[in-house]
Amino acid sequence: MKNIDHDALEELLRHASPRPAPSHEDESAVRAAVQAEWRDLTSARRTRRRFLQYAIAATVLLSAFAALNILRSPVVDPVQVAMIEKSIGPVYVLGEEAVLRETHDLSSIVSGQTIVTGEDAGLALEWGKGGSVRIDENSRVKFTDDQSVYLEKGRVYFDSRSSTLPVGADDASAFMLKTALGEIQHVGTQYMTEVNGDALVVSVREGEVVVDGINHDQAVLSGQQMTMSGRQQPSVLSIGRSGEAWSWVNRITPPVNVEGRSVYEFLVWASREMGLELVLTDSASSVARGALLMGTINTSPAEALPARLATAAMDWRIEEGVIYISMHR
Amino acid sequence: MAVYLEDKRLVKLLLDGDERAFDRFFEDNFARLFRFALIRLSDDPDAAREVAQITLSKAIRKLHTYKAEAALFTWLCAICRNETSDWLARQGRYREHIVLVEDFPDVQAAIDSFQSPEQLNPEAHYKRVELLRLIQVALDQLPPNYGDVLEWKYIEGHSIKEIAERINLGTEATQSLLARAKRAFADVYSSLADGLERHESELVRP
Repeated sequence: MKNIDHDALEELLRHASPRPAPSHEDESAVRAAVQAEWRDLTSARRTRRRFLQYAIAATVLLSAFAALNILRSPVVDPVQVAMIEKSIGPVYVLGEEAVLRETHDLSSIVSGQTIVTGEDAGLALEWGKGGSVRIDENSRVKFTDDQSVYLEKGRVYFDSRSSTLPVGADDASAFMLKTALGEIQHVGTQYMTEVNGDALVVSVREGEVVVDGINHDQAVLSGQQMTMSGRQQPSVLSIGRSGEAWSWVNRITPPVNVEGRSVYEFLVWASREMGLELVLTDSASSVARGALLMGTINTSPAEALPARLATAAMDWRIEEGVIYISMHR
Repeated sequence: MAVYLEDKRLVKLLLDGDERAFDRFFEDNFARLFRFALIRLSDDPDAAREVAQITLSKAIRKLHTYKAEAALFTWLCAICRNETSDWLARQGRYREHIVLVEDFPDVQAAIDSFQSPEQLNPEAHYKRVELLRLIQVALDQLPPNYGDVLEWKYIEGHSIKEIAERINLGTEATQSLLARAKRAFADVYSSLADGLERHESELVRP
């Protein structure tokens, strides 16, 4: 029964009897009983929620009063939400009028700050809760708290695995990307989000995201690009997992420490960063697992590949979303 | 781990008191639960109705615990299975726990033997009846609209036009829905029939 062909399937169904159904009287009676129970439940929940809201409002008022009249100082300190791994071009922190240096030196971002990137700029961040965040040029992103960011305009890429060797399991437990047009929640993934005027564009390279839009909800799967604009139904198209659309992400790949890591671990990381499937010949696989690397990679994965593979006497080629690795002849 | 987003969204709306969500929840699940209970309660429709009602009421009270790690209907079936056992115990009608093929987590089988049944000895007859029953089980395991359109088209013999009018869709959209439903049915039915085959071979193993 591995493959039921079309005709056999129809023939099979024609042999069956209609499924037994409850009577309309029974259905109405059960519906009324269950509905009454459901209404009681939701009504109780609403009452509890309203009470909670009043309690929260009262608490907020009391806290504000205490803060203003007794302590006279803010009680909530900003928390560090991300570490800067790589910065290219002019990047600003709004409010402080400070210019971040174009350097690889690490500095952090705290909640409440807004990052603005200029022309040809880009920023790679290690998200505090795990995962890698990248911001494209001409973007504006507010870091609201340690669980979410607000994209006002431009493009943000998120990878639920940090950009490190070896590539591990998903480690971002909490990252919500919010926009004026909807919220994007990941389910273990690599995806990018663009806010362009009144359009929200979400492209998924791996995994799945859920877009909770103002007018529509939409799940977006690997290899799909969804565009949501106004009240129109979201449109979903196919998109390659590598190529021009993702090139800005590679441009700001953060530095990665490869000291003592195998060529194979490097290839797994590089192919994932570039959205490519990795295929090695048997001999190349064996050599790649034994050969160790040194130092740090500061360039994009595509730029790092030729140099690192040359030292291991390996060739590579990319065809239709797959990177093939073989021994040099 | 898979997350059943559509079901999760429906449950969220239910908890928020959305009336349309309740209609969908009830219409999608009551008849299917009724049939799920019916086969486990010796085809007693009154008992099946009562157990389906208890299941839905209990599910409503436990909605906030639904994590969407399984389909909503699967979650409801788990509750229904327990309620069926409790109902039988309450009625003093305790019997050996019924184990149906569709209750096995792993499931191998033969549509070919069904298509061209041999001379019906008792064993072959039992198998044919069971395979036919599995069609109904498989239809109930599909999204409700898939099960409905397949039943209307192939079991009740309605035309595409009639079905399209019944579900308020265009004929092309209805044909597309039917094609998706057939693919889904083939997958589910294969699993169930495979399970029947495997179970039988285990029973006869020395």
